[in-house]
Parts: sequence; C-alpha cells; structure tokens
Amino acid sequence: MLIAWPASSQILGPPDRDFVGPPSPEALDFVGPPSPLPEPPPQIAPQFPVPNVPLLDQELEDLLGRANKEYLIPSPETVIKSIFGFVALLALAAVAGHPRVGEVERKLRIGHLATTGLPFVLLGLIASQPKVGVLAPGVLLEVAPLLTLGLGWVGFSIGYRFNAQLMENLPQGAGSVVGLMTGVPFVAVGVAASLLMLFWEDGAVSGELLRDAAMLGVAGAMTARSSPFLWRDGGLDAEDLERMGKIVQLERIVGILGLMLVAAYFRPAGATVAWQLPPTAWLFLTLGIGVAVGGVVYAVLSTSRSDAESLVLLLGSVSFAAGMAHYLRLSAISVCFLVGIVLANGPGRWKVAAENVATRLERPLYFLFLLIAGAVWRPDDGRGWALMALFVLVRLAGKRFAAGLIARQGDYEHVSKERQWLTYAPAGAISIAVVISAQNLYGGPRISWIVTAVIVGSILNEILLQALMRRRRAEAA
Amino acid sequence: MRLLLFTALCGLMDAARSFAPERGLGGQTSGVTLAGGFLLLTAFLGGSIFRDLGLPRLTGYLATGILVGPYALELVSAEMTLRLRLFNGIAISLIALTAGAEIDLRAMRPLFRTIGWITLVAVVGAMAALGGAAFLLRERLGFLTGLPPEQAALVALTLGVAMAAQSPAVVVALRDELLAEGPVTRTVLGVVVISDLAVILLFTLASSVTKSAMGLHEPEASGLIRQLLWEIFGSLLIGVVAGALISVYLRLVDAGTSLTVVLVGFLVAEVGDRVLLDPLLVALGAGVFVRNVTSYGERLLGEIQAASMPIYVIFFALAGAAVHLDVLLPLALPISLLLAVRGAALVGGTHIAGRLAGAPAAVRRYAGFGLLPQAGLALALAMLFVRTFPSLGPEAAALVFGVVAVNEMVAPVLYRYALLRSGEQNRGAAPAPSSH
Repeated sequence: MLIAWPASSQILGPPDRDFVGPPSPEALDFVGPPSPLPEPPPQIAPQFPVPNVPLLDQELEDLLGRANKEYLIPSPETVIKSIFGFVALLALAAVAGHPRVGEVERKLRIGHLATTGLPFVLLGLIASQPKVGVLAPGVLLEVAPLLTLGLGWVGFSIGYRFNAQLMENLPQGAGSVVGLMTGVPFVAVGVAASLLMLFWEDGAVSGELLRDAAMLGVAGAMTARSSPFLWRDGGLDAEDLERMGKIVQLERIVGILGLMLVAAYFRPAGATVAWQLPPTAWLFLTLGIGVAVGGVVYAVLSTSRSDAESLVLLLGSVSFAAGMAHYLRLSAISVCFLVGIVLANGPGRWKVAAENVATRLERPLYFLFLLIAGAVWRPDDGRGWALMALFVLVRLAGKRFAAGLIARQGDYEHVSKERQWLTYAPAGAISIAVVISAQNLYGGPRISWIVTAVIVGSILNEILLQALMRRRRAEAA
Repeated sequence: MRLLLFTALCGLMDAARSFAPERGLGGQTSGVTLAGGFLLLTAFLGGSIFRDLGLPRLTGYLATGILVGPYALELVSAEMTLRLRLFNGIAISLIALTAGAEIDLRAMRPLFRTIGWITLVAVVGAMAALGGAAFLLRERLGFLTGLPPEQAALVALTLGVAMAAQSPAVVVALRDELLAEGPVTRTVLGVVVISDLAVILLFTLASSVTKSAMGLHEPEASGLIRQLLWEIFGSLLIGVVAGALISVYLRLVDAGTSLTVVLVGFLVAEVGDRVLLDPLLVALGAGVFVRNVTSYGERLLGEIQAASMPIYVIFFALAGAAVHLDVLLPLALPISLLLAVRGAALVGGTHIAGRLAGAPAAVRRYAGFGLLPQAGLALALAMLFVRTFPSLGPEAAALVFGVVAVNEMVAPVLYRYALLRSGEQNRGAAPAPSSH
C-alpha cells in the first residue's frame, strides 16, 4: 500500500477543540465572555472490566505525538476544503439514499452494501487521506454528535417499526430459529475473534478486548433486511419472503438487545463518572431510561398541533434520548429503540409523518455511517484482513451449524426451504450501525480491524451469495 | 400539561447531568446531542406555554434558555452552549436569507422614503443618543472613568452603535407567528435589514477610530479600507453568486430542497467567516437576488420555513442560555437608563421620521416598536466589542449584554403588541412549503 495511513485515524471520540479554526464572534457564546476551554479530565487508569473511555484531551495528546500539526490544527484553506468536501459527501449520501436508488437495487436483486455502499466506504477512505483531508480526525471528532443522533435515529426507526402485531402470526418455531441463528454466530464469532486478538496482544485479557469481540459477535449475528429480496429467485413465494422478513426483524431486535448487554456490562468507572452501579443495574437503567424517555416524548408529541411541530419534537426527542444514552455511556441504538417501541404502540395523529421521516432518513444515515467507517478503515493493517477472513468463515460456519440444529430439532417446518438462506444471508446495515456504535461509544485501535472484518466481510458474503444464486438459476434453467 | 412535561424533562436532564462531573465525561460530545435535544424540547414547550399566555413564542424560547442555562438551573452547561454554536451560524445565515428573500424591491419602492428617513433619524439618532447617554453616565461606569474625555467619548459612541443594533430574526419570527402583512410589517423589515447594514459599517468604523485613539494595534489605513471593501462588496457579490446557484438548484430539483437550504446556511456561515466575508451580507445578498431577479422567492421562503424551525428554536434558546444573569443586577441603573434612551430614540425617532416621510399613521405610531428587539447581530457586536476592547474589563461587556438581554426578553412582547394594535395580524399567508 502506497498511501501513508495516519495512525490517529481510528480515533473518533469527543471533541474538546474547534477543528475549524478560531470561532467567529457570531459563532461564540453570545452574551458574555467566552467560556474557557475545559481542563483535561483526571486521568484514571482503567480497571478491569472497564473499557478505555475516550477522553479527548488524552486523545489529542496522542494525536499531537503522532501526527503533524497541520493535520490537527488545519489552516483556513484546509478547513474550507473540509467543509465543502463534507457537505458534498453528505449530499451524495442523500442522493444515494433516495428511495428510487433503493428500488433499482431491489430490481437488480443486489444488496446496497455491495453496490451503493461500497463506493461510500472507498470515498470515506479517500476523504480521510492526509492529502485530501476532508474527513480528517478533527472533522470526525466534530461530527461525532451527528453520529450519536444518527445511531439514535436508526434505533428509533427499528423500534418504531416494531409493533405488537409482529409477534402475532409468527410461524411455529420462529423463536428457536431466531435464538439459534443469532446465538450461535454470536458465540462463534465472539470466541474466535477473542482468541485471535488475544494472540495478537500476547494473551493479555482485558475488558476492552472482550467488549470488542462481543461487538463483532453482535455484528456477525445480524442479517441484512434486504436479504429475503436477494432470495426471490430461490423458489420462494411472497409468503415465504414475508416470513423471512419477520425473522430478520426479530434478529435485529436480538442484536439491539445484545448491544444493550454489551453497553451495560462493559462500562467506564472511576472518578470520571459519578454513578457507580453494578452492570445488571445498568441493564435495568437502560430499560428504565428508554421507557421513561419514551413516555415523556409520547406526551410531548401529543401536544403538537401540526406535522411541522411533530417533526421538530421528534427530532428533539431522538436527539435527547440518544444524547442521554451516550452521555451515560449506554447504547444510543438500544435506548432509542425502546423509545420507538413506546411511540409505535400508542395512538397519535403524528405517526404517519414520523413513519415517513424515519423511513426517508434511514438509508442516507447508513451511507453516512459507511463514509465514517471508510474514514477510520486502515486497509494496510493485515490484522483487519485476518479478522475479516475469520469473521466470514466462522460466521458462515456458525450459521450453517445453527441451521443444522434447527433442521434437527424439526419444530420449524420451513427449514428445508430456507436452510440456504439462513446460512448464506449476508450481514446488513444494522451490522454497520453496530460498528459505528462501537466507534462512537468506545473508540480504540481495534475499531479499524472490526471495520475491515464487518464491512469487507459482509461484501464478500454478498458476493458469495450472488454466486450461489447464479448457480441455482443456471441449474434451474 | 405542558408545564408538567417541561418539569419532567428538566428532571430527566438533571438526572443525566449528575452522571458525570462536568470536567469528566460530562463535557464531551454526548453532551452536545443531549443538550441539543433537551433545548429543542423544552424551548418548544416553553414557547407553547408563552403562546397560551398571549406572549410571543420566541420570548418563551429565550426564557427557557435563560432558565435552563448555565446562569440559572445549569441543566445546560456553558460548554454545551459553546459546542452548539454551529446552530447560531446556520440560524443567522437563514435569518439573513429570509430577510433578503422578503425584500421585494418593486413592492417596497413606495416605502423607500420612509425606510430611509427612519434609518437616518431613528437608527442613527439612537446610536448618537446611546453614545451620548453612555458618555454622560461615565461617572457611574467604572470602565469609562479612567479614560480621558475624548477617548471616553469614542468608546461611548462605539457602545452606542453596538447597542442600537436590531434583530431581523425577531421581526421575521414575529411576522411569521402572527401572519402579519401590511405597511408596518414591511417598513420594519426594510428598516432592520438596511440598518443592520449601517450598524455593521458604522461599528467597524467607530471601533477602528477608537482603537487608534486608544493606541491599540491597528492595521494600516489602506489595509483597513481594503478589508472593509472586501467585507461589504465582496460579501454582496458572493451573495449574488450564491443566490444564482440557489435559483438554478431550485429550478432543477423539485423535492427535498429544505435540507439543501440548511446546508447553504451552514456553508455561508462556516466558509464566509473564514474568508473574511460577512455571512449576514452574503446571505442577505443571496436572498435579495433570488427574490428580485428570479421567480423562486416564495419557494425559497417556503423551503427555509420548512427547514428552519428546529434551528430557530435552538438559536433563540441558546441566546437565552448565554445571558449572564449575575452581571445584570450591579449595573441595573445604567442599563435601565440606556434602555429608556434607546426605546425613546427609536420609537420617537420613527415617529419624527414618519412625519418627515409622510408615512401612514400606523407606521409612525407602531413601526418604532419593531426596532426595539435585539438578538443575533446585537449579541455578535457585543461579543465583538468585548474582544476588541478587552482592556475595558468585564463591566463594559456586562453593560452591553445587559441592554441586549433585556431587549431580547421584553421587546418582542412590545412589538407583538404593536403588530396586534396595527391590525396587520393574520393578513399574510404563510410561505407555502415544498409540496414534497
């Protein structure tokens, strides 16, 4: 690889400085002299199982030690270039997220990760180059709040689509299908990734390593929402596709629960946080916050008088819920998912507008996530590629094993039809959200490996699936 | 119900804030998302509560900001407000774009005479009156007592220019809230836009002269003039180019342009400032171009309205959160006197100017109240004053901020009352948002 990759590019923590140069008078605190910049937080050595909490000042010091100053404190020209570049990338994400592009993908029977998504990963990668400088570490720090909001929106969208009716009319055995198809790959990928990372880190077990392996396991357990569409030529009818769609939806919910568990059991501690609670208490707290915020938001939304007001309140609600989750170092996806469930299962005249916006924003958000993933990706690190190979193989083996168990159990009557789909369905957009969630919440050097593993692995998986489908079509012909 | 929800949200925020010390995890990016959502929800509820009480919604937004901000309940910290400053830049650009798109030069031609007289008599007169009052009050203002009289007079005059600034944001927001249309509404909008231009120019001139008189570092005169010319004419020229690009975009794309409008606001605010352009003038120029040269003025207004609501709510709440309550009390007397002088000069000056221009009685009587509100530009100039003259100490800052803060809170109520009295409410149609 000829490109010099900045060692700092994996960092996406909270900003404590303005990457865009000195602020304008209008942009500063309006009334009163500007507040002094915060002092560095106390540096507390993390204790097991305490993960490495991203403390910005430490990160900046690290960055200053590793990167050149211009890259970190850019000139106005660089800043302007970054602003225009970032706006252009956002515009591209919005265009690619247009429903018509999605329709084309469905017509062509391809998942958006391998087609529209791949260019975004590459664009993010190019934009993060020091010579291009559009998605420099400072920019990534600055857009971190936007990512928190985006993750919250994704969780909200999933929760909002989950209404109680989904649980009705589920085929017999669907529970064990979802349990096995998520549980087995989760354990398999998590254990295998832990062992590989342990090997690289000289056997030093840490809470962070286990946490990152668990995040990879969660990503591996997920299935793309579009995967039933990819299977349209596989001898399945509309009823089958609908049933598969429900299973995917349930899998996403299990994934969100997994994120909830990881965030509850791998937490920061020490003097930087005031609440010292046992992990299980954090699990209950996550549920409590989701339901409480959901209840308040529901009541606030019921005071709106127009669609425009509803949308303002909805935006504020997701931002509040995601911000609170992230502030408490919980998963924004999980908390907002709960908020979405609370809102979806009550009446309200604002619901149609909310549904439309939730759907409209989801695809562009995933493309934004892919851009960020590309920006923190370091393809010159061989460990990421090794982890990717492991991820693809172990995930496939885990899925295959789980499908075999389901067939052996015999309580899911459609297994003979769906066995190949259950085995080869690629990981989808929710896996990307899991990666970005890990990036946003924890940061750390393993994120780049996880990006390679999940995103490149998912693309490979999809290519494999397409090859399989082509062979089936040829055989059928 | 709304009050209960407001309290519940404050309770949740307080609980969350107790999780981490401010200097620990609390002051980081998560705080931005949390504070943004919290301000959006509480300010919206605060605005609704004020609306139910017959007061302007934006006063509710400001009051909410003050209440939950760092100088009262501290639910939103000073760091959080600082990190949300991006919204200020976008909001100011969108406000200027709206103000520009409102200026239909053909329709306003009959008002030019009135606008010119009001700008000259009321606005420039208010600057002189405020400068004179500050000079006369110098014995009560510690930062002026130590200065020689000529320096004190120049500092007072600079303060007077800064304190005379108005607020197109409040004028536009109240017009939209009341759906007001008529000579008072149009005259006020024209005056605040023109006088903002005058205030920016005069403040730059006054502060340059004062800096020279006080022996502070100042670039060469030719450099200063070049900079001024670039800031004014460069901004307007770039604004025209931006307006042309916006028009082409509106012609080509018929759906989902609200987000694009926000991005334009972001670009104008962030890039304009860094190339020494005035984002206010750039956006104003763009808006005037779109309204007067193309046929997309109404469409642009509709798109801005569709996209700007959350930005305005946060902008006004942030403006409230930045009000230093602690510095207001010690300077209560001079602030009150300056407020009285400003109010009298603007309302009285408008009346006189109206007579000179032969304006309708409603304009003479009520337009002056539209010049009272202060927000974005006044606060920005106050901040600039503090940065330009740091040697004058916090008392000078407190004086300007005090005047602006009271006008922020009280003046919208007065202008709303004036609009209701003039009978222009519910005469205008809300700009039609995009059909998509």
